[in-house]
Amino acid sequence: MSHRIYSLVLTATLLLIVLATTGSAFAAPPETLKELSEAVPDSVSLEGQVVYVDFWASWCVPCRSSFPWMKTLYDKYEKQGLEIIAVCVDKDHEAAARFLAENPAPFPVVFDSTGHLAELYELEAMPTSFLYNRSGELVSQHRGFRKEESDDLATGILELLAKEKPQ
Amino acid sequence: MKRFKCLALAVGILALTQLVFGCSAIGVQVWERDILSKPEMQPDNRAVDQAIDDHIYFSKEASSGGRSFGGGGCGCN
Repeated sequence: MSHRIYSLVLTATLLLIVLATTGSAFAAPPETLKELSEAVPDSVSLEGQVVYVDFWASWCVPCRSSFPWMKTLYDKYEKQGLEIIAVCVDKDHEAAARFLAENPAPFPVVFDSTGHLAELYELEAMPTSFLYNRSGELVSQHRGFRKEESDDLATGILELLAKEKPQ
Repeated sequence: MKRFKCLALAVGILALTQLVFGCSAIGVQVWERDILSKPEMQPDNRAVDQAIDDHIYFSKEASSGGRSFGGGGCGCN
């Protein structure tokens, strides 16, 4: 009897340890654009587009430096089917508005001051970007923004744009 | 006696688990670091105080630097 109790307790504690260690491993960003398409304005359609989702904030220096890069990319490839959704996680709306006044965004900006989307996407760094193909499937994600990595990021986007032509 | 040992073992393992992983779910998330990233929230934002402290440490302990870290607190650099 005591042997059974012993093994039961041991199994339960081991299970607890496994759950505690792998808890974060189960969490993953959404594989589809379902949640995001609910957050974007109705005028924006993500269907059949290559979608680059960028989480940013006005207080985050690398996020600020990624804006001109995103603008250039959007201006160049919007017609080929690139959609950029900039998710602003600023709690201070005025700071975000000030930044956007200085750096007008040609692409849609979604405000997520409650952190609902940020939590859903399991952000671990700012900025973090997610790239979805035209079928709306998550292809890659990228943490941070460094000038030397921006070419690789752009190459990934261009490959997706070239792989599947707009319908 | 065996039951007591078994219970003690379980409590021990649980305590260890809590000790190691108990704080994993708390803390400021990366998207909540707006106030933390302000210059006045950095531990080295008072240049004069820092210079005086550095002088003391250098004179007394022959040590200098290593009091802070780079980056704006957004977890990205």
